Amino acid sequence: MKLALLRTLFPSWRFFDRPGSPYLLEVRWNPEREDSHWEPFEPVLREQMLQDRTLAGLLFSPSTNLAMAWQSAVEILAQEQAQSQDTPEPIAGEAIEQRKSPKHHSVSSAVIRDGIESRSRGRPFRYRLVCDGEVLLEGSEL
Amino acid sequence: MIALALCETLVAWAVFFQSLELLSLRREFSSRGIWRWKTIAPEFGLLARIFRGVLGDRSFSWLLVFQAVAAAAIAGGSGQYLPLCLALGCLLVSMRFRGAFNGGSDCMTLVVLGSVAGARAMGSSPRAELVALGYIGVQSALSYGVAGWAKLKEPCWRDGSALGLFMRFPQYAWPRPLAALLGSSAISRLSCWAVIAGELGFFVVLGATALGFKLSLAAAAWVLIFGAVFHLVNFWAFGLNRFFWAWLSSYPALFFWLTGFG
Repeated sequence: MKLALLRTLFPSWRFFDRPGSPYLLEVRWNPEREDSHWEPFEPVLREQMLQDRTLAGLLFSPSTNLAMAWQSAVEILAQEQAQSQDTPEPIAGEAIEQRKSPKHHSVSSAVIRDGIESRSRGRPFRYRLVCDGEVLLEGSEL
Repeated sequence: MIALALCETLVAWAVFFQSLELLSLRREFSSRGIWRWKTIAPEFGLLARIFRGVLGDRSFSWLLVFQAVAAAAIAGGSGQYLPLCLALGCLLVSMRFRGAFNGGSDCMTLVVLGSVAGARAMGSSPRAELVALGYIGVQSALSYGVAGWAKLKEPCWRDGSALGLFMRFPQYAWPRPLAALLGSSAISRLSCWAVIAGELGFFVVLGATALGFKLSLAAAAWVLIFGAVFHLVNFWAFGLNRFFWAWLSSYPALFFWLTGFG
């Protein structure tokens, strides 16, 4: 069992210390079509989150918490990808494109694919992770 | 001790509403949602079969129902081992989301609930309750001190740009009036320093109690009101409702240590 599953038992308390750059997940529905384009993928709309900023929302804010949990999932994937790209020894014959593709067996990329698929309404899709305008990884449904 | 009983009631209500929130999101952890058990199970290794009984796509909803009912029961007057069951349930809920659903608030909920559970399981002896209040107090004080110190070390917090940078993150929908207000660099810098000073000041006041310094009841109440307002502003800016309740549930322990009043 992965020790990270128990991380709530080891609080770090370093909240909001380093903003860095946000990781943005973009999706392209029906990528084979000509009019297909990259668009931000957010499972919760900004307006929905703002509706939670009420007295009732202080007790019950499912939309906002879902948005935060989803972004955490995106950040975990980004961190795993960064670690895999930091591998010091060069891998023979490995193309840059290959390094930018998510490891399909990783749980993190599977969670992201599941999340997009849950909003896909059966449409095929491609997704990519972008930070500061740079594409960190690109993948598609299985 | 009344302080621990108040911690217990507050954290029980916090878990009650957390469970309702998750139940309303049950589609997201179903077999057609974001966090599917089939996808996450490999992280549990050989124990996946055992955990499936409580964390599987369907059984997880029942765990949340149990959490809500147990939390309501504790808020209404606890049993000796029910807080322990609730704490274990909270840990399982975090594990279902690969370690945490809402980061720091999950940690603080477990700190308070785990301490209460430990004291109750040991028969609520005065010594056990004192240890529980001590652990909650230390962790709550550290949460402000560590967060404040980490910010103080960051140039973007010192030059006032940090809050503006957080506005770019998709998970935080900032209310427009607040975003407009922080568009002014002077207000942004003032706000960043207010956060740093507030967090470190809170830690210093709490830390001083360890050296025997005590506040009057009124002064202690004002310190905690200041803390609660800080979390309310965070809720308005970032939407961190769970943080508000998780930290508020540690405040009776802080009041106890600030005043030496049981």
